Amino acid sequence: MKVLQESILVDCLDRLEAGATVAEILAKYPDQRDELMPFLTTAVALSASIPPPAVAQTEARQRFLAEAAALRRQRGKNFGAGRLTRLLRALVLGQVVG
Amino acid sequence: MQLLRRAQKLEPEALGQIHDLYYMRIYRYVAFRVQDQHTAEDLTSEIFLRLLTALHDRQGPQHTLQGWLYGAAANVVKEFYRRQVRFMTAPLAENMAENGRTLDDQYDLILLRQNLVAVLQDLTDEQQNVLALRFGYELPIREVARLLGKSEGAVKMLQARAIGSLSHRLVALGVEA
Repeated sequence: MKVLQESILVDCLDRLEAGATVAEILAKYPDQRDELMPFLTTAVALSASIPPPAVAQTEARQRFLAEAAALRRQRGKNFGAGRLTRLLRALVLGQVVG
Repeated sequence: MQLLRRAQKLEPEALGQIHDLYYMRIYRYVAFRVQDQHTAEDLTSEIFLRLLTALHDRQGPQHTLQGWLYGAAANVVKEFYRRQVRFMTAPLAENMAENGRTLDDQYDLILLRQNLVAVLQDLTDEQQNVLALRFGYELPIREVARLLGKSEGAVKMLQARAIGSLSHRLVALGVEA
């Protein structure tokens, strides 16, 4: 397998990303066809999506939202406790000053 | 921005939207780096839980979610490798049944991906990262360049070298891509 110029490889990937097919790109570089074929098909294979099972995403979403709900409750408690502390402080200060 | 503001308040609808928008991209980025489906799922969940913790502690993303999530994903992957005494791979394509393909096509695709998974690990960390960002996280060249602090030309070159290296290895293994 001959070593291809990197500028050709970059150009091929640019064309692939722009929507050209492997056949169209190979037609542009007929002299490098044999070397480019595995390169381009590898690039296409990488582009193929890797979907996780739908159930994994759904379960992950449920766990994520359940955790968020727990944190929201915690935030609410902290906020409530903070307000109560500030109110008590103000009352005590009012007694002392008054 | 509006979505981020609502997420900072831990609004369930906003968080659900974020999960829907980014789950697959984060998962694919991680899957490119760890090559094991179940590990990728676990690590992806961990990344989203870190987002929640950061939002709760008011240390989450201030301007953009995409960059923050990439940073978190990169860290989680690094930590995973640190924890690994020995790295085991499992077939990534176990559940890759694709609609509309013949059985032969599916088999070829699964075989190709399994071999890709095997040879991906031979690439440099930088090359793996670029491929994960491009083909997993599906970021355009410009965004990858920005995240990695490189020029677009440098990213294109890295990507071309990485794919060239992969295809050479696949040919050497006798795999017809």
